[in-house]
Amino acid sequence: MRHIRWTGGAVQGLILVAGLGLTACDNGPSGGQAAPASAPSAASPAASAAAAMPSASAAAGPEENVAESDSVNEDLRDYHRHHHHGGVTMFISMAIDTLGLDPAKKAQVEKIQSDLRAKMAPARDAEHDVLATIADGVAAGKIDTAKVETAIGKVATASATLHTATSDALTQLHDALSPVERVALVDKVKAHWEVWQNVNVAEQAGSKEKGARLAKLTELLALTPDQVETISKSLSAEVPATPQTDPKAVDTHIQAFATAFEADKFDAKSLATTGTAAAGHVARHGGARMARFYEAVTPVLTPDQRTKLAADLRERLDDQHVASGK
Amino acid sequence: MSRKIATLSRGLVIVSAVGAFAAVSLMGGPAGAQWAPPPPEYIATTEPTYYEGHAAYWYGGRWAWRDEHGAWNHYDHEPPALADRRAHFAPVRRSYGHGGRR
Repeated sequence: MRHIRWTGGAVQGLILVAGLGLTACDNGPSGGQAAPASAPSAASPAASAAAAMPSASAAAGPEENVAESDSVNEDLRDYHRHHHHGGVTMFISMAIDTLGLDPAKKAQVEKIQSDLRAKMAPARDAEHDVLATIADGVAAGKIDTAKVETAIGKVATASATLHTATSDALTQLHDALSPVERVALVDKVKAHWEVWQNVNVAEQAGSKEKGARLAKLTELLALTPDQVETISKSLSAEVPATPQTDPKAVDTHIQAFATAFEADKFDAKSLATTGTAAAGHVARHGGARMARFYEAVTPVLTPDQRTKLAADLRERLDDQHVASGK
Repeated sequence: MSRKIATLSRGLVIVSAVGAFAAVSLMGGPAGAQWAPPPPEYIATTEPTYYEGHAAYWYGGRWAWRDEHGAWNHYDHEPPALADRRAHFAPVRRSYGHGGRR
């Protein structure tokens, strides 16, 4: 009898649990951060459904390797701390790397990417001079500040002409991609710009937090706590933004590019005004911040640490999108 | 009889509480407020899968995609085509470290 009573309660309970559980679970997509209440169903039809298959060829388990993800993220942040030539054109070229296109379209788009890289060659060569000058200074124990500033100016000048020089290539890129691929490219350009700002603007120059530039250097050179403290203090006074390094012009240009590139018809030349206004900001601000960091670091290092750091900086001359043909 | 009613009532109260807890957990759990969209580093380095007019990214155990307003969304229940895709292909990521593609 007691068993029957218990069973009766349990049955009622199961019905309730099932009902509440079903209420809680939605079969459709869920809105993420800032998703509007009227977010459309993910099941809405689209012309390009499953149009492009990513080029991954290695079958693997479904679980993400978190450690590898962290390292890929860190590598990207470190890349954007050291490479500033090309500005928005550089972000567009990098965005092509991970579009996940089918093999035929990939080959077509990689030709356009090669063209973009060829147009960026003068800015890239100028950046080589910046890094090489800093590396030489680190090795010698004193960075030639005037020489670095001149080299950064050359990167900015070379980057400023890029929008005009790459107009045809950008129009070809637009025409080669489907609407959904164009949206994906714009997302990636915005993502690169966000990462670049995070590490070159938002991150405190003297920050000792995990993943910050100084923390990475501490790891690389086994800096002592005293060395870290000295460097951090030296970097703690932030350089105020000047009109020359105002990121709003880049924001405006990227937004204008996004709107134009996602549309069915695209004329890169129509972006000349915002492109010109934004030109050189990434090279100037990023280059100056990088130089300032190594100028603060160098006097604090031992000879062995300087040798190791100089070698690390020279290795960056061979990074992807920096060395010719990569 | 009154004993039977008392037992039923007790069962009802307990199970209602369990059900409410389950509902709150499901709504406030990974499918809801705790879910975070992919960070920019992930978008910049990962190849998407194109599905139903979106570039979808497998992140945090879910497929994430942006709607036409730019807001991130995710599927609570993985569409079979995406599940099949994931079973055969690992997400391709590009490393910008010295080692190149991973």
